[in-house]
Amino acid sequence: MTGIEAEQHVRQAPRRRLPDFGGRSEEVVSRLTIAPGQLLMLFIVAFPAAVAIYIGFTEWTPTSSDNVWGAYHYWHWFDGYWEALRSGSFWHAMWLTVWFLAVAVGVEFVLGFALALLFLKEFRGRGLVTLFFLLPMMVVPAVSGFIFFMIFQVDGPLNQGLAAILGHNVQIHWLDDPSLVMWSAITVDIWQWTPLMFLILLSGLVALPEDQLNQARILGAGFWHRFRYLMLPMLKPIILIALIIRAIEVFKVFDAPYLLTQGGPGDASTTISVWLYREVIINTRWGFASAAAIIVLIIVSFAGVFAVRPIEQAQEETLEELVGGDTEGERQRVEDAIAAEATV
Amino acid sequence: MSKGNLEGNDLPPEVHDVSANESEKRLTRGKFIAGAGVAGAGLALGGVPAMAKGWTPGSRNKALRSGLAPGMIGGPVGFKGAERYQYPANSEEGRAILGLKALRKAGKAPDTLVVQALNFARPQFENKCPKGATLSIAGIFEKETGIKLKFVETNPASEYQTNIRNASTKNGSFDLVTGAIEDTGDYAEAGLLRPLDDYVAKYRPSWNDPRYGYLGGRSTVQLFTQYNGKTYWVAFDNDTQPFVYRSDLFNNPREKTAFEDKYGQPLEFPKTWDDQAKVAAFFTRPDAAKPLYGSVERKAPFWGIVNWQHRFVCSADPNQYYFKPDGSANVNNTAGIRAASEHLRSLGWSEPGALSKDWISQYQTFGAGNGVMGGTFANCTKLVVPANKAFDKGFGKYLRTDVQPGRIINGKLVRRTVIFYNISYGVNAFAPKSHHEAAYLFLQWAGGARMYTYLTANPGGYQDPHHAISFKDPLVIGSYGAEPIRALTEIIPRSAPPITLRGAPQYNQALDQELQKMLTKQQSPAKAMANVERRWNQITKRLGTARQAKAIKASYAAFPPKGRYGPDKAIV
Amino acid sequence: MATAPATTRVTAGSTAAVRRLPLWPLKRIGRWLAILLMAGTFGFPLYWTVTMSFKPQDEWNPPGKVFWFPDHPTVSNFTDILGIAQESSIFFSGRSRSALTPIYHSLIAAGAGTVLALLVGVFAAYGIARFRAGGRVLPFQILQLRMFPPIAIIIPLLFMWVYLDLWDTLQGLIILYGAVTFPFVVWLMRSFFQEVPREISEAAIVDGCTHWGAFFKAVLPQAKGGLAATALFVFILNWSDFLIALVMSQDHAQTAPVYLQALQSGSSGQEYGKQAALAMILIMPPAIFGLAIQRYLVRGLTFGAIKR
Repeated sequence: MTGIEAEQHVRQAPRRRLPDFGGRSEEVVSRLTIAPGQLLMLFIVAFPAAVAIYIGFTEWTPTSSDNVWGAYHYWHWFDGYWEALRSGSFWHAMWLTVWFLAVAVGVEFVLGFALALLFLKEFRGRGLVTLFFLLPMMVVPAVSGFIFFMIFQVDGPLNQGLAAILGHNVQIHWLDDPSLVMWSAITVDIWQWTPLMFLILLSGLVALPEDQLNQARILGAGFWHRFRYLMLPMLKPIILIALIIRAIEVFKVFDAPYLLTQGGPGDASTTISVWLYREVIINTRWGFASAAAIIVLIIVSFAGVFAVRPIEQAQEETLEELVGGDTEGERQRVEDAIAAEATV
Repeated sequence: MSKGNLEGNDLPPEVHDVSANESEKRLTRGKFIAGAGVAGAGLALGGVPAMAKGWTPGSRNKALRSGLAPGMIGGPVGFKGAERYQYPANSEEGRAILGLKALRKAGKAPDTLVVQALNFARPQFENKCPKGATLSIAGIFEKETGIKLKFVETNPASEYQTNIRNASTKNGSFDLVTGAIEDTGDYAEAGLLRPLDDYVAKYRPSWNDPRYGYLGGRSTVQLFTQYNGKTYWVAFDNDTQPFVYRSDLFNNPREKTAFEDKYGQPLEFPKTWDDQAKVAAFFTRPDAAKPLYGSVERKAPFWGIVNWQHRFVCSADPNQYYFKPDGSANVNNTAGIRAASEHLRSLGWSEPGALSKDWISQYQTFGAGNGVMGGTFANCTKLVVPANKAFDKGFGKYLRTDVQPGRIINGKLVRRTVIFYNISYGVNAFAPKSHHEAAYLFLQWAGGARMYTYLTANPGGYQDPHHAISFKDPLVIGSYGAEPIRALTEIIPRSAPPITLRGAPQYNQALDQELQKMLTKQQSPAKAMANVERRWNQITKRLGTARQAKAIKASYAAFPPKGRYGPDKAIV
Repeated sequence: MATAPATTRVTAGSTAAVRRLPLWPLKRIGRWLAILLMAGTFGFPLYWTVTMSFKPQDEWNPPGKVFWFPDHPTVSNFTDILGIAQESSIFFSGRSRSALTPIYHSLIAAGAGTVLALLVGVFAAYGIARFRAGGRVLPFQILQLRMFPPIAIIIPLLFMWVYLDLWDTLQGLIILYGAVTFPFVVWLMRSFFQEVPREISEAAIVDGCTHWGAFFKAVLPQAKGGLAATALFVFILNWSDFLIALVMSQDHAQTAPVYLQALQSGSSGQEYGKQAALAMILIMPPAIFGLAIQRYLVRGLTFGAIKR
């Protein structure tokens, strides 16, 4: 049934005692809904986390003469953690990652929003054009890596295109100038994931209440006014979700910096995932890498807590405004009204 | 290890005369390739009869064509010259086959051997070559021993991490491991490779034999097969790095005069790095109608390390080693800094964007005529040929090869090349123990002088020859070309190992990163070498200095021995 | 939806109305221009991929030259990787396996993994949105699952998988894909469920449904659009996964992205043309999926009628 019908249904509900919504059956149901998820998480997380913590206290590598259970032969308590905390390259990688995150998510958000706004008004073929803009997301990251690798070559199409526009030879070293390589990697990420922002924001925009917006326009509110004071606040929850999800993914970015420049030159594009990859795959320092990864997890969790919790609260408030506010109070009023009628 | 001449039967005497006749008889590259156009499995080698006619006429040929030559117990049949690759009982291949037969009879050998291999190694095992051959190498093996070969593929990008993963999970699902020479230390220490010395003592491969052994003798054997005093690989490749150059430019009279006027010495292929600098600078003309780049050896991440090593290893007599016997790094000194500066300066003689370009681009640069000279892989002259339009745009025919330039140390010319990436096979220690011996015997057989020569004559794969006898083989010469083969015979004895210690990828990565920072002007060569020394010492300390020092001292034997100088004259 | 004419009746506070020119043709053109410009920028790498897939080897990445359009277009890249007519010369070794099996494995692993993630995640999302299941902690815990850098978790998982005999199996991949993407489902669907008012499920319960009935019959249909978008996104994630498949498979469960990386040969290195061809093929399942649910992506999310 549609929302309108449902609403009407509620209003027309027969006046009998409402079932006990806060009862135990609800509790059981709620436990059941999350049980499979919790089981899956436990299965995937518990054992690997335990192993990761274990080898994080050792300097075990697969090329030492023990297998993983014998890692305790290389026990060194917190030396690995201490080394990571003191490691210039580790913090450099963290810094690069944060910077990458800020720029990439910011640009993707702005571009995605702009696109979503452009697509808001219905036009012929909108569905197909939308799908076209979603295509970059569907390209396997390994492929987008090497496509941009070729585009960014000194004698590649980007430089040649720029040369055609500017009229003189262009030899920008997108892939080996240390000050440019991060921008190249960011460009790949923007190309690949702006469509996601576009999709989520468009979904949100399309769901905005048209009548309210129409009313505002008829009353003379200009576009930007409507945008700032009406649309943006109503979109807040969606925007926040999009930003959080994207931020978490961008933090782990690997394909673009690795495929373009292997994290180089030197470590000019070594994001934290590239740094970890090097420690795990090339240096085979699985013990040390686990310790460093745990540090990363702790840092990100802290950032997440401080970022997400207040956001969550804001989201709840906004939703309550949107969906009609005080549902508890509402219910109480309905109950009272029914009770009052019943006693008559 | 085997000593002396173990081989009971001589090969037909005609084989030794091939080199004298070959200038008349050998196929031009074009004819060979044209005749060798592959359609699916198998090569068509239409030109061979024309060549073979020259050297063994008569009734003996007819007998040979149908089966094995007298005294031979196995090998390929079906084409003229097949008896060159057949083997008697008293040969390394013969002993291997007889050993396998005995194992099979005793039920101690499996029905199938699973071989981990790069996907582009397979044609040399699985395709029939040349035309008329009745079986592929895998087919011959199955016929003679009853053991089938099954291939599990890997690829260069993920080979190392796959093997480390396999080592850590004790994956015994394949019997033979493939790997690069740089990773020997890691694989050996991780327990992935089974030491083979007991089998070597029992079945006596001919690796040290002057005629049937590896070219260059004992140091080459150490280089290709050993780590820390034990044998782990059987060599199935030869990635010594020649120096390729355009002979037409060097022979051009105008260029010769101009060069002599400018530098006061004749224009010839440089024997020292100082001369190389002059020639490269002279020929670098980026603004010419056809841009020329004087020195296009690779400088990109991963591909460029070996070119620093080339400038480094020749800095002492007999060798400039990467590490001192006590385990500390040996690079923060004149030799290392000079090699780094030269490496940096040479970037100015490379094509634009060279820092992102790999060996494919280099071959294309040579083929298009823009590259004047540069260090590269041995198959450059094999691939930059008219039949391969993707690489050759007409300049491939001018390419010649020589040993890398070197330095004059105390009046002696020390020239060295460094092996890079060389892929070989070893026995998987985690495979079922009953498979180990058979797996080793397959390697001894397929890697033997005759069979391996035969294998490398198939141009369909990357596995390159390294036996002394291969370089006189007509099919091999037909496949690679006479000049490159002549060059290889000088290059291999002067080949030095890369770092093959445990942790080699870490050492290489440190070196690579510091060199990249230097090449992108983030630091000076001196600073780069200081950083490399610091990081290498850190790595050594973490891995255990005493342990590393032991392996380091053992690795010295893999370098060319004292007295191996020159060559003083250009090879071709 | 018709655009309202710009010349409106004069209302309080709107003195400029009389002087307003008809803006909408300019706006329309401007909008189209902007869309075209964006399409051009975003489309160029796609164009490059398409043309690359039809280029022969000497046009892939020649030094100093750019082939904007293939000089000698060929379908050999496609026929080679699909095993139809394997290119074989002495300079290419015959490919021992076509891309068909890896693509098949990818379809199964990504598809079933998505289904698993949706099953587990949708229930959990509903529980969290409707009943605050797991309190304030659970949603964050679930999100944390995504925060851990995968390269570091993959090693212990490898040991576990080998021990459980799940290594190099499709079922092993399916479980992993489901597990690593279910956090997305939870977070995305939670916000979509939160937009469905309580009254709807309450009304259904009043009508005599159980909680499950309320969920399936009343709430889920409301969130159809969100579910479609979430499913597409999760499928794309699983479809593109490389690291997990690389470590957790060898022959029997090799997926397309791993096969893609292995597209190199000894005589030509990275086979860009064939990788591009495979990329074109790999775009199709997500694109088809997107096409199928396209109307949900843009239109189906209207809750507007309920909002006050």
